[in-house]
Amino acid sequence: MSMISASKTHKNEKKYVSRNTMKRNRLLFYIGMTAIPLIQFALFFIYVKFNSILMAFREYDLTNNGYVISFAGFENFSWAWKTFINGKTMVGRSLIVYAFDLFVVLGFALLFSYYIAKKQFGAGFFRVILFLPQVVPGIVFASLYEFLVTDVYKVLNPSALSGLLTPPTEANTQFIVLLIFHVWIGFGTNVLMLTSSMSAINESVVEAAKLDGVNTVQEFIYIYIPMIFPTFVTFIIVGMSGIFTNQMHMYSFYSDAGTGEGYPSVFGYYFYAKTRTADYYGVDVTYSQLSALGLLFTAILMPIVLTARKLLNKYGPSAD
Amino acid sequence: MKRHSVKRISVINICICVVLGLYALSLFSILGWAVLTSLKSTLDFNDMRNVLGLPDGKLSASEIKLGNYLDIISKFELKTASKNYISSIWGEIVRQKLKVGFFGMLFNSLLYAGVGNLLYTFVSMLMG
Repeated sequence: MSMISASKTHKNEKKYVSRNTMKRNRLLFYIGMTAIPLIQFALFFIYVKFNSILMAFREYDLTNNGYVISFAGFENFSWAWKTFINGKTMVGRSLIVYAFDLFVVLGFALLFSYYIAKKQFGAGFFRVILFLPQVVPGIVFASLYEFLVTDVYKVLNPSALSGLLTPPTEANTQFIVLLIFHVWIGFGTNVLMLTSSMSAINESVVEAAKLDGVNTVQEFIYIYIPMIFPTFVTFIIVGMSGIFTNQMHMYSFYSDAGTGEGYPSVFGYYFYAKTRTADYYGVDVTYSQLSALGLLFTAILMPIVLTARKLLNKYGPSAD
Repeated sequence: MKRHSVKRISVINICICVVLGLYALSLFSILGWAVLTSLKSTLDFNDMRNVLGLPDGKLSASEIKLGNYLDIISKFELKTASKNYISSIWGEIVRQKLKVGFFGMLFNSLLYAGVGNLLYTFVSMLMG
């Protein structure tokens, strides 16, 4: 009798142990899985941002013994503010790029996505075509476009002193040429995301609306737009937060040379090109100054982005 | 009696189709132009200003036979770095310049695009 009860207790213990082992293994698996993204987040987001904030208040000087770091106060922010104020043309161009992204690229992307989601004539083919600029490296399209607006342009217009992307061609003309390229290859991701959202709309909702007698335009405005509005808001907000970092593919055309006189710089490109040539000391723009400029951009854009998001979510069309 | 369903084609859809068609044409024409240019020699393209036309049979004779592509595959190389190693014969330190050719770059690109995207997707899935 006692033998039987002892064996039962042993079995229960075994069960208990195996449950504990399972729990522990699950915990280990969970830690293992979440460790990668957490380390990535800590390294590439928290550390980078924290270091940017520290750097914005630092000044580096070179001595015989190496770098000397000193507290710069708000000197770097003063430089950043002056750059921002003096760069009104760049701010204007950055805003024009965003306006084009919002109204032209996103507007057309909505129409194209609707067409593809409704599986109209050639929808599959057009879906691939719209994503082609993302499949073929951007630099390939940029090089081809550059050839067109320089070499081909000069052949077609022999009296031209230069191509359309270099001085003495006016900066505004160069900007328009760049903007056309930016719009031309900018549909891919938007169309892909919007089509996916539109394809997820329940067909019965569309059918019910059709029975109520809605036409194509009404269907698009009253059914599709409200249903995909969260995706739409994401594009608006992401675009807005990137106003001062969108470099409009300028680096592909100008490399580091486009920040000089006579070039149509935007803040995104200026920021990128200057970061490439920056150093801790002894250059026209230092890492510390650029960190301050980045923080200034964040300080300007953060309230705008948060307000826009709140307003869009509150007053935008809803699926109900 | 069998009913024939007639699919309504709206004007808006026709307009979008035309715009998309023109967009596709613009992409294909520039890629087609790139292919055409790749079959021309520098003499044909630059000196004779044959920018938009077909390749000249005499000036671009070898290029028409994919000469530019063969050049890219065989001659393309990029100096990447240098490394020191100890010579097995003399025992002295030799500085060797490292180069990467067309296929090396192709491998690097595939590695970056394949493994990099796999990792990116995996991490995004975990976070999502």
